[in-house]
Amino acid sequence: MLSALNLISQNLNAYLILAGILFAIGTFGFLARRNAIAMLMSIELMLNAVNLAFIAFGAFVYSADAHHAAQASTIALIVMAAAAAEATVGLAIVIAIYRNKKTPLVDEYDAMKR
Amino acid sequence: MPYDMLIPLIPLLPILGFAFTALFGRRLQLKFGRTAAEIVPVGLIVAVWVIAMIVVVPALGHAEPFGEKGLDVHLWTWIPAGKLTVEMGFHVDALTACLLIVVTTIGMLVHIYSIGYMAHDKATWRFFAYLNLFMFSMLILVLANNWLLVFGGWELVGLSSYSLIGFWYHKRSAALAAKKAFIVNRVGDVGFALGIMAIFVNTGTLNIAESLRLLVEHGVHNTIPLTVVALLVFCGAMGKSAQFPLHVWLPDAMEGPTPVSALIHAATMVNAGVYLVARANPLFSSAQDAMVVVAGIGIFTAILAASIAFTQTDIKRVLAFSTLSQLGYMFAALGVGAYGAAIFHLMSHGFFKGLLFLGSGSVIHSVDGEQDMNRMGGLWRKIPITHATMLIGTIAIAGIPPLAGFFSKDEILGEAFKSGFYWVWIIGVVVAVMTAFYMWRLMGKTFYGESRVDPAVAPHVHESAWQMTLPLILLSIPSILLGLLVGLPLGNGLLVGWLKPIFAESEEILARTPTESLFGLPVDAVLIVISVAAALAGLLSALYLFGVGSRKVKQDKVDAISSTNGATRFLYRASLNKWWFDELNDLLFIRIGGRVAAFLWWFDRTIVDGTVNGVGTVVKDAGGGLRGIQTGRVQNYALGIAIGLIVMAGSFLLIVGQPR
Amino acid sequence: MTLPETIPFLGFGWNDLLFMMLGTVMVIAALAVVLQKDIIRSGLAMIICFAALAGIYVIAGTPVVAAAEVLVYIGAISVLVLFAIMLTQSKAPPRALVFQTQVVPAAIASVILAVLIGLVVVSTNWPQQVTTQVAAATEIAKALFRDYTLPFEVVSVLLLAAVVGGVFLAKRERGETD
Repeated sequence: MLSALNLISQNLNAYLILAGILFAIGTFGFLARRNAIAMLMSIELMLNAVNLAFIAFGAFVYSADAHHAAQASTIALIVMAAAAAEATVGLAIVIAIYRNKKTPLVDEYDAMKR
Repeated sequence: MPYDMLIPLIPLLPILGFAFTALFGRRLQLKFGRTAAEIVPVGLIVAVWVIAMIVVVPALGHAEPFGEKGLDVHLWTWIPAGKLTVEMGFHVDALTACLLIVVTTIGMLVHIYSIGYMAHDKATWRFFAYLNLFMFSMLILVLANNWLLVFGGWELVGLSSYSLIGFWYHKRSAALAAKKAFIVNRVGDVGFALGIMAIFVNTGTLNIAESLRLLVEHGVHNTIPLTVVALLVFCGAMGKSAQFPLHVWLPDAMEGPTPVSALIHAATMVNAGVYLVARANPLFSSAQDAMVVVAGIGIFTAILAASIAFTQTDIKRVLAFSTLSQLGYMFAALGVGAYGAAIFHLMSHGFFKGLLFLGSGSVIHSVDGEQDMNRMGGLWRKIPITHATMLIGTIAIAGIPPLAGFFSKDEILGEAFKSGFYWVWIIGVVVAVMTAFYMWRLMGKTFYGESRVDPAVAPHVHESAWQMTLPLILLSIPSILLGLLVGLPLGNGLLVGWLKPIFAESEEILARTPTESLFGLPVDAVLIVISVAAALAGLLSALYLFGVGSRKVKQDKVDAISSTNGATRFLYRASLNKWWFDELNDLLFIRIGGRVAAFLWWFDRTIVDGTVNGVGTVVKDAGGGLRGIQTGRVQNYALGIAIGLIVMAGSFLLIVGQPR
Repeated sequence: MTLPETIPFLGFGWNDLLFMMLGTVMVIAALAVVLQKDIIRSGLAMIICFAALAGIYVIAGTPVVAAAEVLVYIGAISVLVLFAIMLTQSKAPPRALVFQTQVVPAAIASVILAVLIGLVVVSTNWPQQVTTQVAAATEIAKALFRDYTLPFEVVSVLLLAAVVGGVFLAKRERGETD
């Protein structure tokens, strides 16, 4: 049975499933954690999962020529830059709210309720 | 003579008088005194009387342009709505003329009388305004040539009556009496309205002459049976003319000033019902079952009212019940087919009852507002003119020849007997006895014997002003002479001749052959003897008990009679309580009806409103419940997004399918 | 000595073994990120996750991205996160305060999501070629600076805005004490 795992690293499905699992874990963390920074970390996980998917596609679907092979990497780099920017601003906001509410727990950030 | 210009003036002048007095009367009275406010309304009514007399003479004599069918004056088309086309027009024939005589003459005399009677009242201008409004409504009713206009006048008369009965509105009893009159009238009016609708359904026209002709033509092929139509129309007559069971409003209506009682409840408004049935005589003659009902209710009302008049102590109440009784006579006459006799009695009754009411007003005025007969007496020397005229009125109503009452009453009884309605005749004779009795009782207690007047008031008793005694004198003239002038020979007098064309159709339909002789004697003579004897019997027994001149009222004998045994005691109490009809109405409609109304109100509040409010509450609570979704927390919203994503992706996956 | 084609007992290749090991580490680390009570441990687990991910990038033939991953994520973002954790320090919360009240529906949703993605992936016919090429840095440079210059510049502006915004947001107000 284990021999069925041969050439798994050459199988697109494996990478995609891995990305899917990572994304699901990130979703769970985002929906279920109380600490705001834990939520942000889960978001990073999700973004990384997306990056992995892009890279996987780039490696297996568009690997005909070198030019196409570079496109996935380009997307991945830009996503990384966006993730960095988002993490910066997000954490700055969390710090600002923490100064106001004295707690990093998201439960308390409910001023927009009914 | 431009009659089609004169006739519209008859109702037009009173309404102008009403408008003028309503708008300016108050200011005129305050600034220039009572007379200034009175001139216009009274003057206009005198003018109306003059014009009416000019119109009446040729109408009665069937001269041109009236002819036998009467003159139609078309003013304009009131409702031009295709099938329902109602015009505003007047129709004047002999029947209208008779009514015009009564209405305008008594109206004019009441207006003049009111100048004196209301001389101490603050709101005289309002009184005259209402009087003019009443004259307008009554004239419209009488002159109208289509049913809708009659109904309009009918309702307006009810309204004017309400305003006038409740004239002293700050007196609670007066306000209640006015309400009672209006509401009871309304009950009758519902029947009348339904009757008019039935006429329209049957014939498609509301013109009186046209519709009556068509109704008779269609006969049994009418959509709505003629009996039903006739009874519905009679409903209205019952309400307006206070026949049983809608008679309860008339005694209470005495709360109004005496001129009002004289005008409305003796001479004009209550005659509207009689006029209505007489006008619709072809309809009634074609529905003989309805006629029996009319006669029955009429004569029953007559004896019921007479029995109550025996024990009443308020002088106006006695006269009110007397009016009820005489109206019953008129309806009995209509019911047996003696239309001419009914109209004759209408006219003569109008005059002598008006006289009696105005006289009683004069009496009340002289004893400073006292209306209880037990506190009057011995007035015959002090107010001679009033006494003399009231004596004439009493003899007239009792039916002693040769005064007017004898002729008209005897004609009714004679026709009843000759047409085979023996039960009507018997009860009618009994009522004649009772009438004579209670009328002399009134005279005896009011004028004769020793004075029971309040000692404080006694020195001031004096005859009334000329404005009040003049109408009394003027009214006693037709009370004496009317019968002699138009009633002879008996059964075939002038009046009957004038009215013949109006009732000719009915005579044809009824096709009666009157009994000519009884036991070998001419039936007329026998009947006259019986009715005169009856009247004298009543009169003499009352004379014995209640005295004349200075003879005292034999109160002890009266008490003895009324408490002889249980039966008489019960009768006395029943009569005093008006046979408990007011209590019956109260129980039926206020108590039981009140419960029904309360239940319906509960139903409306709880169930209907509850449902509507419930819908609102459900929506509100649902919204309130759904508000809980907005927690303000991002994670909850994100969960919603995740769930939505899963649902969409999953359903897409499942539905669109998996291409393998 | 050359490595044999396939691992003797297990029957799969060396790359596959590496892939599986890195994948396992990554998943476990990710789970640690979301499930750990102590948030600093979460942060450290995140670093491990990123490192494993970088390894997988190498296997997939994009060493440049792997390097960027290490530099940006581990070197910058994770450090930033750790700083933020330290600035918003509160006492270690008991178990009950770690998870929200909606943890169960969230777990179920995540599981279903994973299953869905798995299903979609497995049932789709990917037009895939077996051999992987290594994405050379020169190719990436060409793509980035020639074909995709605009996104590159926009990202620069984005980073600038993020920096300015972050400084502004987190700045201490005048006179306010911490």
